[in-house]
Amino acid sequence: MELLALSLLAGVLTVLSPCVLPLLPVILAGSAAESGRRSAYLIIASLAVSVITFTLLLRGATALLGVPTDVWLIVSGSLVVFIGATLAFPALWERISTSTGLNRATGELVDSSAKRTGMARPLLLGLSLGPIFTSCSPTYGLILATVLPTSFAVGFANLLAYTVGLSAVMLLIALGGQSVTRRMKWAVDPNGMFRRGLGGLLIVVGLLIATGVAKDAEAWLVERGILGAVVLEQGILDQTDTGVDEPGPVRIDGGETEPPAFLVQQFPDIDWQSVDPAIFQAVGGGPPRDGIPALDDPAFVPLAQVVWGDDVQAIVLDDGVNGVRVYPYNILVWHEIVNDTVDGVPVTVTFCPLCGSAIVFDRTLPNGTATTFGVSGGLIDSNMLMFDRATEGLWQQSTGRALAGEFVGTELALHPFQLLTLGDVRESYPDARVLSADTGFPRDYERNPYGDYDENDRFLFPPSTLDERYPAKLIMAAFVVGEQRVAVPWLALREAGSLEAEVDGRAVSLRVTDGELVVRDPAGRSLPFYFEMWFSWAVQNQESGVVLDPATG
Amino acid sequence: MKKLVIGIVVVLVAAVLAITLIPRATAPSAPPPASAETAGFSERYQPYSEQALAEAGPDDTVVLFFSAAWCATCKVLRDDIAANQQSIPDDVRILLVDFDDSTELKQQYDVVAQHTLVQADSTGEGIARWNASRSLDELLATIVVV
Repeated sequence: MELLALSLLAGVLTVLSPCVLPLLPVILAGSAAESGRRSAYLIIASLAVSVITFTLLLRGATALLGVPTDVWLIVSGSLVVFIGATLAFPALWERISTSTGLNRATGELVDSSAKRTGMARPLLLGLSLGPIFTSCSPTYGLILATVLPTSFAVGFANLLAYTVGLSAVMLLIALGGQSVTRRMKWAVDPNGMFRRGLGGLLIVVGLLIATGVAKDAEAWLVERGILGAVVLEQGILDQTDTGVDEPGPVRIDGGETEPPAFLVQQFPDIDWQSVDPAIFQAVGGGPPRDGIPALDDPAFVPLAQVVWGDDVQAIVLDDGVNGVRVYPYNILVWHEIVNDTVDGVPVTVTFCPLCGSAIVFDRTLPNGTATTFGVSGGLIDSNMLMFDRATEGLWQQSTGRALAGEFVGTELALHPFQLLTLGDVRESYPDARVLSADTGFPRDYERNPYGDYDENDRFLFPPSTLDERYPAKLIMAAFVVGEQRVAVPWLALREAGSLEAEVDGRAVSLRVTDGELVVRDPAGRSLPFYFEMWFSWAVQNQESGVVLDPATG
Repeated sequence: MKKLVIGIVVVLVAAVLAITLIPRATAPSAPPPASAETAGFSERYQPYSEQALAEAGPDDTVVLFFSAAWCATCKVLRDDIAANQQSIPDDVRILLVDFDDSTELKQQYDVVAQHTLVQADSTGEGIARWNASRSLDELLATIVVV
């Protein structure tokens, strides 16, 4: 309700602002030239209708955005010139009115008992101004930007109030102009010099509007700091509780600004006000929270008992004096996360089937607590969102970054591992122990629930961007040097055996021996790495990531 | 009859004048809306041009400010930005777009009213749109995190 009153006031105040400049002389001259109050009312009424119509057409919708501003200036200006011409040359107007029946028709439309007073001209005059009137009122801006898009009815009501305020003052001006004319008896004669003079004035003003000079004059005033009532109105607007929220930014990149409902429902303890906005892009992958069951207390069997073929890939961890632990993909694909303790370090072994990302993290939170991770059911660009059971925070697997919860913005530390085939393992580590198929969950580990997803070129969840430098599902070895994220086509690197490169001015050395990768920084330290499908790495690092290719050096 | 002819001639002259004068005002070579107050642009705050956009770094945030010379509230923001250019972060570029002359940009970002701000990435891809920031601080605070 307060906004309605403010809209009305804003309409009144607009008359004191530069943006009303082209309107004033037209209204003043146009109504002074007509006899009878009726025509003044008519000019203002049609002005109001025209302002509302064109506001909705040009400012409330995008359909006519392609029409350059100049076109509206020419249309409006030409109409005003034409009306000026009819006043300056009355015989012309008589002729047009009679030959087209325009006068009679509009006269009947407005009032069937209308005398022979011309109704068409005032009507046309008011209408002509709608296309060029662009309000400079901040309240009007608020109505258009915020109120109209949320509720057309409320927005329209406020627009109406604004126009009533504007029209009321305009009417006073029009009637004032007429009363001055009436006192001057000589001015009433339709063929008198006074009316002709007003006609000439309208022609000039029309030309000024059409050529853009009128707008330039407004700009001239504004540039000199003559802002009229705009500053005052802004002050009132700031002080008033309009019940309308400050207009916030509207996402135009398809980016969501609300957390997905399924996550809100399944993670009720998260403070959604302080999350990484990346989480708003999350979609439900199908299975709910823990629908894909992480393994917490994994059992292992000797490699000799394992029947899976040599070509099955596996994450391999160094377990110190106990040899190596092997986590085959055919089991990981069903569980995605294995929380384990390897060589005394609490780790979480993660695998996201939809983006081929195999990553091992230290599962110690920044506060020192060793947590366990579960599968949230959410995906961002096909990549798994994990949650930690200690704080219920959400973490993106491919970056190890917390997107929601207590530790937003922090990253889990990478833990070193190798990606080998069971064939490699059988050769290099005959004493290895392998994640047991006896997981306690009835799953068919012979079967891949994603079929040939790794090899075909289709997606279950199409990525937001697709970098076509490499096939989407090509596996990359990825690591970080300093701040720079780096990816290398894994099979090509395996083939090449070694790669020396410079990243950000630092020499990095990559060696693959018996399928095992070692990445060393300039100081000779071994860097942790992980693996991920190209499209998924590219989504995260397209702009700033560096790709090293053994084929191109 | 003579008057009628004169009337028609006047209208025609008006239309011809209008049409011939307009293109000159909006020719592509026309300088951006520079003025005493908005002069003194810097790398972080300058008139829009494809070149100015191309100069933005890959991770920079670009804010297009659709401003009209006759728009009083735009003027307030223009002055505030110009006076506080040094407080624009290194990775933010504010490009001033003339609302009256930029039909294509208005269509690209669905800008219907003057004093509209459009956040884009360094390629010009639109990210967010809002209206009527009053100060540089308010503008910077409204930039959405991508």
